[in-house]
Amino acid sequence: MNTVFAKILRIWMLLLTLLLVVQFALAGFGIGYGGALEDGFGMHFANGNALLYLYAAAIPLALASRAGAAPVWLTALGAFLVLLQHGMALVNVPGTLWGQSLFLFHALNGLALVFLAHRTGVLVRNRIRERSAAGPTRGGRTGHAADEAPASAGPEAS
Amino acid sequence: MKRFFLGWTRFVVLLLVLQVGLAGWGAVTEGEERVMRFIAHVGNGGMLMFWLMLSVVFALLARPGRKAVLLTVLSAVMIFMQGAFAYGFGDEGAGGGVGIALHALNGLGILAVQAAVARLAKRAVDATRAPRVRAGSEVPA
Repeated sequence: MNTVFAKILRIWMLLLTLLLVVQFALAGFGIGYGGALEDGFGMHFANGNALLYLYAAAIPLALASRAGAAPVWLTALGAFLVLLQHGMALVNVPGTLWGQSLFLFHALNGLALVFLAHRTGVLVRNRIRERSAAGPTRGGRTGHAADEAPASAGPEAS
Repeated sequence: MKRFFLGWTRFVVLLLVLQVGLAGWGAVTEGEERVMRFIAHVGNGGMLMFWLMLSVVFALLARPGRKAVLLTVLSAVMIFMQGAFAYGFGDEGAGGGVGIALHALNGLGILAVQAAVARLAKRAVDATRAPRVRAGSEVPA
């Protein structure tokens, strides 16, 4: 594990969780401001765009942190779900059963994203803690070399 | 009773998740009056106020621990504030926007608190079951 990138990823997931919660407040602001999707939703859209890029940036961070496959897949799933949120917003037709059912899932998907970002952050935090509890050499070069050793032994054995 | 409280709290959590979905449903309806556009959200929300008041009674009967009871009371108070946020800040403009923004954040808060209560209720159920299992294991199988 690369401890530095793992810690950055942990903070990144906290930031994403915060922005996702803020996104709910901004959606509420849009509804309270005018009601129609055009007025008052500007901040929701801007934050939604930011979330897409910031969540996508979590994938290379998860790869660089080398904290296992799970954080990589979970951040990729999160970025895909954010993309799905944009897709739902694009194909929505207000005032129809189609659009209303779609936005039921838009809201539920947003809620799932808050949960996913939070749990991914907790997973990374626990991996960091396990890592620092496992050996007195926390992170740095020596920890990195210890990770490499079994991987390089694999091809030799086979 | 502890088991019932656990099941009941999980049911309320489910309805709270559904409530978020119904808010999304209402957001893209068309019409004049907000109450009518969000009628499914308002209906479920009104019932949830009643369910959480019942939750306080059930929590006091089930005795899942002081923390669980206090958090149940907190979520009941928070769901009464939802009405104030939805109706007390006006219908439009920045004021109405801030009102519904707080309404959304408070709603997420209620969901988080009830999820915590469900976890505490699960712990209380497990705690009652553990001694019984130990007592059963005294008889060699």
